[in-house]
Amino acid sequence: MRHILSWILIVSSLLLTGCDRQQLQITNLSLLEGGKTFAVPTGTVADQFVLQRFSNAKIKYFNSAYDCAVAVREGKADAAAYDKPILQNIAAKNDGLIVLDELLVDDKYGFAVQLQNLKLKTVIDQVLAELQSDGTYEDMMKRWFPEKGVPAPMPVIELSGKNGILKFGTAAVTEPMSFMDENKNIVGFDIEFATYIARKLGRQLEIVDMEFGAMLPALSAGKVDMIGAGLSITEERAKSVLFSNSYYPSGIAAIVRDYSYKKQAKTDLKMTGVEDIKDRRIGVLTGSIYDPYVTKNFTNAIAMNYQSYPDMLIALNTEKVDVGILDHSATKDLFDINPKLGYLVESLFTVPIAAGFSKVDIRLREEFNAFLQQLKINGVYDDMIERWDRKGLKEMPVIENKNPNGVLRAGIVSDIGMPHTIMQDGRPIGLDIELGERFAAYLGREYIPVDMQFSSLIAALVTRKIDMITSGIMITEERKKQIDFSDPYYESGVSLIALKKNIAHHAVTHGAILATIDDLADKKIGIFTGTVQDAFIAQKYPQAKILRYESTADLMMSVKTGKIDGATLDLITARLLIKHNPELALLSDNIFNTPLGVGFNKKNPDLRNEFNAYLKEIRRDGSYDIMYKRWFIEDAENAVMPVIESSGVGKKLFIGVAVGDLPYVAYMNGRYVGFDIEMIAKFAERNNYKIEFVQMEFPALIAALTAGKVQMIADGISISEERQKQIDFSEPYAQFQAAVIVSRNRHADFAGEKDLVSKRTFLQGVSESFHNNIVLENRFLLIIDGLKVTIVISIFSALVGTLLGGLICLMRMAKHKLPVKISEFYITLLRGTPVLVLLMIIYYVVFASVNINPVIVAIIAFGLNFAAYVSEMFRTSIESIDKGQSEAGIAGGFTKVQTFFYIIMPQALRNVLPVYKGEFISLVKMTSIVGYIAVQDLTKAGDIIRSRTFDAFFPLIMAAMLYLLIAWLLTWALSQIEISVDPKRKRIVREREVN
Amino acid sequence: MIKIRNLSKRFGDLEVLRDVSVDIKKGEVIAIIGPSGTGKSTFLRCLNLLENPTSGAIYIDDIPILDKNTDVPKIRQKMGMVFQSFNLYAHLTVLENLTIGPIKLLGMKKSEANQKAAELLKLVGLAEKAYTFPDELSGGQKQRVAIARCMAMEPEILLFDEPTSALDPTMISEVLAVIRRLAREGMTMIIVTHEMEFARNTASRIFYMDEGIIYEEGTPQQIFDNPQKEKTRAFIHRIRSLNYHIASPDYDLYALQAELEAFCEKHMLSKKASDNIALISEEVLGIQSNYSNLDLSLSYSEKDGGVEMVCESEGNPVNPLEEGALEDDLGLMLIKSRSDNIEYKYENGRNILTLGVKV
Repeated sequence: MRHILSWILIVSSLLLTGCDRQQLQITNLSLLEGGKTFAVPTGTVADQFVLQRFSNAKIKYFNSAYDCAVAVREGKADAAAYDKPILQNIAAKNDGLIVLDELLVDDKYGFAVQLQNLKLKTVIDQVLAELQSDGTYEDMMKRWFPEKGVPAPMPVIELSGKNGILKFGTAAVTEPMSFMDENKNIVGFDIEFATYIARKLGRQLEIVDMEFGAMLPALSAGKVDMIGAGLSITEERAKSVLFSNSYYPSGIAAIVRDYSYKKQAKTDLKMTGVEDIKDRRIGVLTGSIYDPYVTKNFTNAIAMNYQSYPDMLIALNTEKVDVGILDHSATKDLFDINPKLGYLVESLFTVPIAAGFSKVDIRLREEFNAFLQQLKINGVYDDMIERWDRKGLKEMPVIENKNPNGVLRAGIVSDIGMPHTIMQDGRPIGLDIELGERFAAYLGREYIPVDMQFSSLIAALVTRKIDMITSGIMITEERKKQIDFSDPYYESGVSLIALKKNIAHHAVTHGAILATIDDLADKKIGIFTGTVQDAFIAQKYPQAKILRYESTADLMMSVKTGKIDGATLDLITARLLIKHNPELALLSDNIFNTPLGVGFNKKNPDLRNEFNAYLKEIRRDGSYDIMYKRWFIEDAENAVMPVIESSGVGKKLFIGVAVGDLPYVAYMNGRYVGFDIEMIAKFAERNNYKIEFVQMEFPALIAALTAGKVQMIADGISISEERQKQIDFSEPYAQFQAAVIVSRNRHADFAGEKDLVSKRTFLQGVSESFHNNIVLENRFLLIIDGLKVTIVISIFSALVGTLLGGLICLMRMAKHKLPVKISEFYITLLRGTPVLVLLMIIYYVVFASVNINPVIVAIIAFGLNFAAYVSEMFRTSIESIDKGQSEAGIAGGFTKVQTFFYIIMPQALRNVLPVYKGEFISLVKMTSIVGYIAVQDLTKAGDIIRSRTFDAFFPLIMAAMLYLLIAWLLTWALSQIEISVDPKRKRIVREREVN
Repeated sequence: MIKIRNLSKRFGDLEVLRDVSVDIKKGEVIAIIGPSGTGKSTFLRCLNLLENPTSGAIYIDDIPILDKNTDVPKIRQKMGMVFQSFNLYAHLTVLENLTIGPIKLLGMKKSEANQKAAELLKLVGLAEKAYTFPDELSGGQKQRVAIARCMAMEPEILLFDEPTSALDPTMISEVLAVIRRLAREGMTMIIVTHEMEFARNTASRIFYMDEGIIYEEGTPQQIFDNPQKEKTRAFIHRIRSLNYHIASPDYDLYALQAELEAFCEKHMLSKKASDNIALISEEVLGIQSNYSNLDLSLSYSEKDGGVEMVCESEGNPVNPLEEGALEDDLGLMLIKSRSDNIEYKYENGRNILTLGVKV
């Protein structure tokens, strides 16, 4: 059933794609045989050439070569035929078109001179030869006929002109031979060529532009000395003019549709500069100078008018318009409120800003100019610019204006933006407002701001509804026709803004894509807790949010799941990680180096000196190099740890390690491996020590060393000042290189790559996971060992706790005050201390320097904690038995003790069992923290496996399931007891007993 | 058997027992009666040292139980206590409740104890319930088991602390029956009770406790029929009569009627008497004019079986018996028809109407 469905899908998708008309890619002329449609510009001979070659061809006429090409691209014609260079130029600038190599007809271009002007012809030929030999010709070709894009600009060529002028007639309509560029200069291949000719002759070049058809007559009439414009050398023409040698092998070529190119949606194309807005939707403020500016300069663009800047910004944000053009000053605050927008071009050009006055009100204008002058002289103007423009402050100073006589109505636009005008606390403030207020005070009139739309300002001024305009209005010729301007009081820049995601140079450094580690400066960075990277990152990127993790596996998971943006790790570890996890990528391979050392207790300088001596030796005799190569250079995972026999005799040394990662320390195949391990094992061998590795959490290493539980610690520990306060380090034995890893799909280098998701079924994944985590390297043995430890600790702690709890309970219910107080204190203390803290206090403080099995410490700690809870549970259940029964017992002749044991306790026990069960299970789960004191329980076993496989799912799930299993078994056992203690159940038994 | 000398018990500032001295002989059945809070239960609990007396001496079989060296639990084994709230051992069956004491304390063998227990259960009529648990029994059954439990220890004295106060009338009789039987068989018993009839019929001696001492004691006849002291008389009288006080015209007639009915039931008056009482009281109250301070009382004389109703009210002298004193004669007619010996007097500003109810 599934098969049929997929077949249907395949077939229908094929059909659908085939539905596109004429999808067949034309690769050579032969494919254009058989009645295909050709697009040809009118008034040329191209149609003749087409019919010459393809007798059955159908011809469609268009106005220009460009239109022909568009027709081809839109599928209205199969091909367009015209001069090759022109078609190539079109193909280079427009996607989806390709020019076929084979020419319909060969053609040659040449310059033409008067028939009798052999001399000039010779010069032209000479120049051509020279250009070809010195490579300029090739440059010209490359320049004017690039593969893709627009021809490069015309090079500047010095002409002396001492020998007169060379008149060159051309029709500047054939790109790229002879055409007009953006700046209305006539440029092109032919023009450049002509310039070289002029240079050779020592003459100035005068270009005479004319109609194509007029060129030949003009030459014949002697109005020009030579002509050229992609002019083909034909027999016909050669009758009336003299041609130079062909300088360009042209021909009639066919341009066809290029299907391999997928047309990207316009919005995928990121803009880089002002050229890119030519065919976009440009937002302008109605009535501003940009309105006509855009209409005039960007004819292909669509100008969208907005009444106010906020309206334009909304349109930008909702992608109703692609780019906005506005005063630079208005953009100052803009990006804070609109973080999605950015500069496309920060300063296109600058324009002067002035106050507007009615043409009639000459006096007012002159007064304003005088006022402005005064401001500039007395420094107030500079201060205003400083405050409003440079510093962008939003404080309006109080301007005194006593006894105003008359009013000054100033037209303002309250949302034009800083520095001109903004609204704050319901009133307009800004440079323009302050200016207006000061002017009013200068005049002795009351300042009245009149808020209106930008487009209404001029009309209001002209109809005398307002006396002046101060709203960042630019001086333009157009406006000058209607109003008069004061002297400029501000220079405004013009900016182009757009959504950041559409701006090419924003994409890399902003937002989600990361190119360098500086991009993490304001993001979430994960580090290994207790390492030197912590201080380093905190100092270098104070804005970043630092998250601390206990293991590399955790770090990696967090990067993968997006909880952090990047993680710092040891470089070699990072490489290994990336090897196994293609979803990760290295952002930076060297953010800093620190030396690594082996840690020693400050009180033990001898051992340290021994070790340093050993280090020197191994560096000298080459063993260091071998080790280094094995673990750091080559793939650490494939390294074979040499078997180093530690001699049976000799002093015992405990080495603290954290089983972090390769290449330093790892646990594989049932033994410790890694550079640090090998180094220390060798040390032990040479100096006659017996070593035992003690595994614990990384942060616990130093505490263990200072407490004397271990004599050395090693696991890629960086030497830092902070640490040197507590312990001593050996000489550095390696350099730690910190690297940063990030998710591959956020890395700038890999942006745009398709997701490499390996397609595995869920089951496949699970079974693979199972194999990696359990079967490989006999990892299940680790789990079994861990399980044993967990069970032992749980049961013994429960025993100790229950007994102690009973004792505390008795004390709590005693008659005397003292035992009551002691027991109350105990309960409060133990219930109020987190078990982990208690555990570590007992291990590192109480039993410091005592060589005690940490399992016993665990039992003590958990027992103490458990007792506190158990005692209260007992007390509650005892007190829940009604007093009457006690009295009956007493009255019946039982002593207090007998009453308790025969009457109270049996009932209390029954009541406490359900709650006890729950506490017991809590205890079992609590034991999962013993990893902190170097006990390898079930949870730690999971961690070790995880540190090797970096798989989070399986080891954790397994551990959870096993805990669940233990809990379930214990519950069952206790329930059995509960049932057996239930008197009602035994009734039948008792009945039988009695009778 | 029990000698008590100058027993006093204080709870903080409250002196519950002031100075009690009394002798109790073997085979006596003592009923302790009195108003609530006068130390009846406290007195009883001092006897087996469930409460510790503040001062005084108690001798049981001439052993001073307050002495430091006395093995009190041992003495307690000779005394059984039956509680108001039964206090059976919830985790043991009825049979085990009875056998636990003898086995653990008297060293009896299990089979012997079981046998004895079975017999005792038969005695109290609960042989069937041997293997049930206390929470499966009714109140009356529980109490009987409690009594049997005490009996299992072969005590010399049985103490009963309001044994029937937690039972409803239907169950009271079954418990009292057991107690009566024990009394007949010569068990020395001290019973704190509110069941006056029972006390009168079963006890050999009555202690009326009041003011922290045994205020008056005597035979049931002496105490119930001829109380000598003031308070005793008041008590006896009070328990014989019903007093109802009315303070406003909005009094609850139905509450009153209910109390009257209860009174009738208690004294096992005939239906006719009960109906008459109800009707008369309603009418008598109906003809009153001033309800601000009205007392209605009903008393029952065991001697002649007569019931007397008295209505006292404040205000101007109004003799309802006079012609024309009332607006409407119907009420008076009804009253007259069901009562005899109607009397009216005006004393100390109060109208007093006394009448005998036809029973």
